[in-house]
Amino acid sequence: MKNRKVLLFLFFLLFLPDSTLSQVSIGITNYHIEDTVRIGQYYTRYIGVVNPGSYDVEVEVYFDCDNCKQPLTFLGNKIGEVKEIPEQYFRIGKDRLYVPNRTAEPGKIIPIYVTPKLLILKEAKIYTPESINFLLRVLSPSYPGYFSFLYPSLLIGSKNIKGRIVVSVTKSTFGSMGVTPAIACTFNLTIIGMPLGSLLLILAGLGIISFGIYKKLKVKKKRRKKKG
Amino acid sequence: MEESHITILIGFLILSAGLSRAVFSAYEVSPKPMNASVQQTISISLSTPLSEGIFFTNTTTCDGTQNPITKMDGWNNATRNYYETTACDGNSGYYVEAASTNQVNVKICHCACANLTCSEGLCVSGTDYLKTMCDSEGSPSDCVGFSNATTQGELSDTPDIGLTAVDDLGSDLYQVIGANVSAGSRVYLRYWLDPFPDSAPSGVYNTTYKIIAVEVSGDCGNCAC
Repeated sequence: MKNRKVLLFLFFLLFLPDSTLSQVSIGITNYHIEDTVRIGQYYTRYIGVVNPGSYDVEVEVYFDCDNCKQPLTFLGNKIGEVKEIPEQYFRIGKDRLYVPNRTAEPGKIIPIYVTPKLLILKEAKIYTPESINFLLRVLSPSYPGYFSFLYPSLLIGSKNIKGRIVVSVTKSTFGSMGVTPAIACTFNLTIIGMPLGSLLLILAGLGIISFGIYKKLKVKKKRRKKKG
Repeated sequence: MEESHITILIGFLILSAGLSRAVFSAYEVSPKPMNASVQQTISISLSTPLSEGIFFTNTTTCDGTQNPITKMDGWNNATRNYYETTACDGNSGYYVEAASTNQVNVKICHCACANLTCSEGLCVSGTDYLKTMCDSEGSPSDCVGFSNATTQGELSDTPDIGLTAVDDLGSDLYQVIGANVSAGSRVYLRYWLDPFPDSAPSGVYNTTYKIIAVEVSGDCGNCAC
């Protein structure tokens, strides 16, 4: 009888939740990536998302950039900002992911496609003065107080993009979540663009060709005049 | 050959030199561009009360139930500041744990996405608010305050730090709550709310609260919500 009670107690213990694992958890297989790449070299990096906890989680994946925004000033006053678009250099393959509980290494894989190009797009954001904002809001009440546009730019010299790839829990089988955990992998990418010397040579070449064509056209004109 | 033809030829030569320099320097065979520093897993877990959320209750009651706040000038406890006890002397239910399998120490940070904003009740939804961010980290008031420690015994019973972190451009940053957390260790937390404005109308006020972990030498970054 006593043995049966002990066995029942042990059986009960078996089904008690593990205090460490019965939590909402999130993990990542790479915590630091430091890459140097030249324009035209394409490759794919992989990051694994793990979940040692006992609840399934849904995560969103995004890049949080530290140095993508630069203030734009005019006569010492800030009039807007210029924003690098990280997707011009690399792209995260999956922005949402379902990670079942107790997913160990290598985890659910996220590809990161590194695709640096010579011609890139940047975004300029110009803040408009409050006196103009007031008038614009009469026409469009949702006017945010600035306008933005994309413009092309050449990647000359080298460019460093610093930040982190964040994996943030958005949903869980735990139920309604009051606090959302996230984990991040530091991601520093240095892109070596076109050397300034090459750009100067191209510009010099184009200048001389234009000058040559102009000269030839001038000679032809003179000959026609003489013939005429 | 005419002079203009020579000029164009020289131009083409320089142009092709420039292009070839740009192209060949781009495709130069160099040491492999993929250089990962290390490839190891880091993970964190939240305690069950923390996953449920931080629910502020009236004054400094410690029975675990949430009551509407009437004390607008002073600190009000979060319900799990003293877990599984009706006396205000128990352990905190709020903690973040670094996985025992972590090969490097981690930095743990937190942030509130915005002020506590009215969602229902007599307050104007989306307009009325209670301030979450403090004017400074030290001696907080009229905001959300907290205490943090790596052991329950060291955890303060009063809010000694204010929720705050804003960068030069005005963006919200994560605030460090555990600067160097080793594998298997925990960061214990307690939270309090000193409501501001004191005249905030009756109602339910919410915001999103986030916790993030990065390698110990990394930055937690922007509180993107």
